[in-house]
Amino acid sequence: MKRILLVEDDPNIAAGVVMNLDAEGYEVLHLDDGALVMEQVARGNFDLVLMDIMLPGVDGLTLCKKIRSTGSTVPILFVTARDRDDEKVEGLIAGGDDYIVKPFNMAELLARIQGIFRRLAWLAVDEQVGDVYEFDGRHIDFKTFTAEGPGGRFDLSRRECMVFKYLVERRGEVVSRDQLLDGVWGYHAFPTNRTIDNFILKLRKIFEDDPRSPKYLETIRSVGYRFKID
Amino acid sequence: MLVRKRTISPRAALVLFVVLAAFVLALAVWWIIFMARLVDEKVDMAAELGADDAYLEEIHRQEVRRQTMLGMEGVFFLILVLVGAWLIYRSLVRTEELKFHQQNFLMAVTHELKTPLASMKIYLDSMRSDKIPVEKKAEIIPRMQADVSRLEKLVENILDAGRFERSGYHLKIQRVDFSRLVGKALDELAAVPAKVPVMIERDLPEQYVISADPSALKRAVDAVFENSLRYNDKEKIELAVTLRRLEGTCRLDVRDNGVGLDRKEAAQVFNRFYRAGQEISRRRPGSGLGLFLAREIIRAHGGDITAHSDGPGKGATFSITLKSENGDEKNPAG
Repeated sequence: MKRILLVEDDPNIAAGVVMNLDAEGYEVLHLDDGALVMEQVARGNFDLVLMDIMLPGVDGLTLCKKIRSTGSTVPILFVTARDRDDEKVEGLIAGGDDYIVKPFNMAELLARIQGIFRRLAWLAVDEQVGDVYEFDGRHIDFKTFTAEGPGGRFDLSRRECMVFKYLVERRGEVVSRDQLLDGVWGYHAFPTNRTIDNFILKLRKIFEDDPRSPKYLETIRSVGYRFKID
Repeated sequence: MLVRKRTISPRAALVLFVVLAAFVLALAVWWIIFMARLVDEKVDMAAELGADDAYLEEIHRQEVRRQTMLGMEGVFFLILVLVGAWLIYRSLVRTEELKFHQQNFLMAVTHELKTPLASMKIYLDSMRSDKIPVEKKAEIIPRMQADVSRLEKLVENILDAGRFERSGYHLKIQRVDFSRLVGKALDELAAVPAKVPVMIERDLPEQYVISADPSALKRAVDAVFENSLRYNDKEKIELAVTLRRLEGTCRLDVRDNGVGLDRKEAAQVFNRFYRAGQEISRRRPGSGLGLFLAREIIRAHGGDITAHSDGPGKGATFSITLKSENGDEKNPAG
């Protein structure tokens, strides 16, 4: 049974969400104060954190950054009334995995949760690529989220691993930014698909001899990217 | 796209002001030195041209007089510039503060509007769901009712705040037993289930009749009580409510053991949009309109409302003062 931590200060919303997650077969723990979250995340072994941003105690963005700084990769789905594009980006940059704006349909929330679990399962499965992928003396470990190349040894975020795995699975093919967004984030998450570019830059820094004239991670102008090995 | 509007922070404005003031002062000092030297040069030049002592003294006197005049004018303009810069600086800081509170208000209202809507949407979805058991569905209706009243209250507050701005509050004045009204508000407060125990100490006369709009007055009193409960982190909330007659007025004091206020907050707490702290880490619900409306209502009655606190963490006392009818034998003295 998947365990979900719900951080929401409104008792009515919390009760409604718990009622529905319960009915879907998830095990839910509800906290109404941001100050208690870190302790629970540290020992709770949760599969997902559903978090409001405007919270008593500590706000959701700060919490998300703190959770990430402990090295935890638990998926975080923001559930919040803040709906401006820059606010969404702020949440995702802080380390959130997805974002849903209040008021939302329960069916949509459940679909987003399932989407997160589905993508996680995809990253964990090694049908095509394997746990460790090696090419030209470079390697990336999809289980430990580490990579090594001419740029040195790096710890990656789960997202960075997912982006790379997605490209490697389609090596030689041109992958559009929209495809990447859909596969790695779920399409709705980012208001602009240019955000992907930052992830590619980081991957190039690790794997390319000269990140400015990439050999492996090519940009295909006005379309997207291609992972290429000779 | 991530777009941030450029604004001057109060700190940057202060730096700018200090730099400008220093520059203007330096200019003035240089100007004074320059003029003093000019007098000496002129006298020296006259001496070189062979002027006698009496004439030299006359030139010196004349120059000093003229330059004193110029100097005075200079000082006047200097003061003008400095005062002007100070005024600009102050208005900049005030604009920034107002903007901050307005943004906070917008965030608060967004949150306050969307939260009950989100909740109702979830419950409507849940009603339709086959997976939710029937006994769970029974919990839904009271929760949705609570959402509707919350939304109703907020919408009322927002509309009233707008109405105040345009035309003030139209009161329906009648004879009201203020003591009973406060008592009723406290009874309602006690009936709402709370997270922590609330101890209420009442010191109300049996009857206290004044001329007021009962529903408006009740709202103001409710807003004060609500605020006292909301801004309280204690394990046990204590409220002491006292209604007294003073000379020609009556005063309702609401003392709490809550988070208290610093002096700046005590002055600002009745301002429209004012909410303590940053909205993103909102510690408490609310829109920042409750106490503003309370003050407008009380002022429309010809009274006043004030906040007093010994400092953060030391609780606060909110006092509502209203005109009282002295000659009314119905009201007890004291």
